[in-house]
Amino acid sequence: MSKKRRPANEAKKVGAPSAPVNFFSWVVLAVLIVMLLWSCRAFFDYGDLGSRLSGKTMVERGYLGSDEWHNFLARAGRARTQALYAEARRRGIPEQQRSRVAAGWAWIVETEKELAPDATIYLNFASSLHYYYGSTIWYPRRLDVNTERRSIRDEETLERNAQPMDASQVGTLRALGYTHIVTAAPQGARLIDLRRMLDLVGGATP
Amino acid sequence: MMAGAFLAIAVLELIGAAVFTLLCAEPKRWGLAGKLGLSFGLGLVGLTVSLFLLSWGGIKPAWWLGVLVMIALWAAAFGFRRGQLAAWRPEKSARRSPPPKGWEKILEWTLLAFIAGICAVVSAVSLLEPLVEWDVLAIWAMKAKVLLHEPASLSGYFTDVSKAYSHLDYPLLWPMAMAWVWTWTDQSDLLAVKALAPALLCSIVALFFGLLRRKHSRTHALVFTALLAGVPMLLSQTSRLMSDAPLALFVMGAFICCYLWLESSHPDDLRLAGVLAAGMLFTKNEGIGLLAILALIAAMAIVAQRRMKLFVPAVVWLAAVPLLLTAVWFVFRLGIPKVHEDYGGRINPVHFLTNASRGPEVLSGSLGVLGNWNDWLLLWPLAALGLAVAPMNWLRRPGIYLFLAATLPLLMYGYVYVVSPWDLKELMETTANRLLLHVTPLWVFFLAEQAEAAQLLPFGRPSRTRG
Repeated sequence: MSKKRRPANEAKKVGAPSAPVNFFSWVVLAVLIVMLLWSCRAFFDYGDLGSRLSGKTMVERGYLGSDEWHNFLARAGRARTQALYAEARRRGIPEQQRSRVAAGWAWIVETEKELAPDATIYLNFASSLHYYYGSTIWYPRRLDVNTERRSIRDEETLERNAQPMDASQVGTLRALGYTHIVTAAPQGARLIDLRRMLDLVGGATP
Repeated sequence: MMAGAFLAIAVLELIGAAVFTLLCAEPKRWGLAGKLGLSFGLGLVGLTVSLFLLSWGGIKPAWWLGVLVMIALWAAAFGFRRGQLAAWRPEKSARRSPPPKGWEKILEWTLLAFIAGICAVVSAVSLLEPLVEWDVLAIWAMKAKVLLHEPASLSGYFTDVSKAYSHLDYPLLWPMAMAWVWTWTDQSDLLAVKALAPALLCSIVALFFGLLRRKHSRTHALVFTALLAGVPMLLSQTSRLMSDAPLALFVMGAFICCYLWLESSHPDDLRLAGVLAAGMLFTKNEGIGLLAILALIAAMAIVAQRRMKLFVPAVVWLAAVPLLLTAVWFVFRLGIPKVHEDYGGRINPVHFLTNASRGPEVLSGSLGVLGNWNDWLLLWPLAALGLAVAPMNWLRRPGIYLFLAATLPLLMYGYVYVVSPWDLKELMETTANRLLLHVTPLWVFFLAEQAEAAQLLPFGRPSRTRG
């Protein structure tokens, strides 16, 4: 440090205890203790979550991990989700809530087993959950929502650039190399093998 | 599967230990916790930069490539720093500080049990819960899978605008670390990669304690390490593998090592700050702004203290080294189409003045975030108290540098919120807490400094800087 700098012991004198500093020091100490005691809540929160996760299959653990109604970690850092949860608790209904994200995660992970390593999948509805998660979890298999490479930056551009196909265009998809199609279903989504589908309707399978 | 993942972490840590040995002429200035925490951060930088260079050259990451990097670095350490290797031997703790009084001893053991317990319980949950976090799956794991399956230079992903939601131009340190774990597990398993979470959490806590111990008594260091370890936002984001947690590790390491260097003038501190600053650049795009702030603070300090002979080493280690280490990434990034936010192009003050009406909304939104009990408990009110108590301590050198390091990033993020074209409420809802995490360790360190300078706690002892 510079030669002109105030020595460390002199620096202490400026901030040395005086009446108001003493008052503040007790306030600071009290706040510190409250905070550390309250931090102990992590033992209960994480302990409870750990006990609910243990003994379950990987898919069940992932479901619980994604479930914002039953897992505090899925709400962490999200004020709006925390407010929704608090409202549901106030009304006594958090147990009845079902997480769309958790269901989507579990479906995508379970469906991966049905896909060959070289499968190419067409998502036939605009769902950011299925598009984002599917693109990652099913990688290196390709997942598209449009037969052309349109820019998809967010939910808005996904909605705009998704190109759902009707039944008459299945042959086109197959000709473009897609092996599977994911369609919307009452429970979330359904994976259909285009090759079998074309066999059933008597279409040509390359 | 998990055994392979832990081996990957062990190799990463060994790479970092070799980098630490190479960088430090006097490694004994650091306690074991500090060394281990630094090794994880330096290992992340050394390993991921090496693997990215290879990937850019057309070679996919493989476990044996990392092992080769580790062998090469340790060979260099044996060759050039043989004398420093002894610093890794366990040492007698009594050598450094007088034995604590009876009640202090009880307090120390209680705090140690609290810190160890919280790390253990969070780590256990992290290892039970697979990868599920939205951003981690959509952005970071996506890149990790791409890097695992094909060399970066040959991959179509980085120009595929249909995957632009995953932010094609985001830096690759964290995805490369995930890909590294997967190279040891044979498949991209959503559970094995979570081995990074306990390592990251323990490293953040250990490094923070090690940094505090450079200046403070063990009791003081344990109190504030416990304070940091109990912050729910840090625990949750680390457990879920969010990239903001490794960035917080690098920000803490780079800024506090630089702060220690401004006090000690020891070149080891500057070298560590420089390499950890490269980690900031390679983890998130915010790292560019954070590096600019770090360089600005160092320049201000050197000029204010009229120590111009420190200017050249500062330029070398706080600008040239981080930029050189990440130069290939920035060259590679030039070829990635810009389809997302272009904050660089909106930095112009004209945008700020045009959007100045958003200022009060940013301020009120920030206060809402700072006061969120679920995520932060009382940390930010406590930080405000820390500022209010004995302001002369942080308005004067060297405290002012730490204050600026903790505050300027927040001002930068506030500026970005004002100039951003997006819906502010939605943007802050998804990002503000995470941005705040980047500077959380700096603020807790600042509180520890304030508490000692103003003698706020009954166990404060005179400050000392080793080296």
